[in-house]
Amino acid sequence: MPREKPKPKEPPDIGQYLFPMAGVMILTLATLIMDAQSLFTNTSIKVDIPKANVIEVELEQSIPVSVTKEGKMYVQDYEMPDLQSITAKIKELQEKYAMENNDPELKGQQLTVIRGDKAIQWGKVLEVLDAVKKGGAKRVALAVVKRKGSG
Amino acid sequence: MPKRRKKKVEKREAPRPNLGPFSDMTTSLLIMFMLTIPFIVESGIFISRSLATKRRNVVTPKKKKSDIKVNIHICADGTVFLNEEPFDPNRLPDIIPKLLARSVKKQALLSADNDVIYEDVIQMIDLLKEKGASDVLIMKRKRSKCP
Repeated sequence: MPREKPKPKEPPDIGQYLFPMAGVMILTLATLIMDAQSLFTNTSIKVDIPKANVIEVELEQSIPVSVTKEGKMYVQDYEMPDLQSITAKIKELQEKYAMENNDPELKGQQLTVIRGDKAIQWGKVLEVLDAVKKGGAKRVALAVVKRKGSG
Repeated sequence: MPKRRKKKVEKREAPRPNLGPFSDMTTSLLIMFMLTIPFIVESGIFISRSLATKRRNVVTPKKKKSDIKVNIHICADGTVFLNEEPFDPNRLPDIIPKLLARSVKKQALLSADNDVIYEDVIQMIDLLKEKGASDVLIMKRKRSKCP
């Protein structure tokens, strides 16, 4: 009886494994694009930030203080009814930062970023800045977005 | 009895998805995202640095004359005062570097009326920093010179 020739092995169908992987990849990417803002700013409050050419502050863990066009104030995602609440919250967060790092000298050294809407009045920003300073923040920056076409 | 022919049941292959365009699109999206991230992500301009840096800047020889050569005030109506004198805002980009060159610490003083739009102040800070100011000191005036 003649021996049957062994059938050549079919290449494994990698498509069935790649398809879900590509799906997950595109979903992850879409989520990343949509959440990029809140991922890097530690807040989900949307504010129309003014544009600038000069950028000084690199990405780091900061305390975001947002002021919306309507005049609402937020520290991280918490709405603040008045300036005194901002001072109290900043004080609390700066103390927490120093305790987490086991270094009392770090109190006030966590960067506080004021995210003001570009249409608000300068007086409002000064009031918030004053409240932040009263809360013991020693490193304060104004949030800006890099202007397109600049270095 | 006639032999019944066995029907050959053909195995239908499952359609293989064409992943080429799919991965192309994903890669393009990823590249676009990476390129646009600097324009999406917020950065900042320092208005108050750490105490250590400040102290370093504060150590100065005793001088009677102020080192600050650029003192700008923005009025709500758009008028700009440079060193207490009204000045054409369009000429600021030319004059600021010349004035800063005469200063040792290259600091600039900036104040604005409360009614000035925040974006205008940021643009002025940006201009000062772009033209070489090491620090922009923000000042609050009790009395404005504005008309």
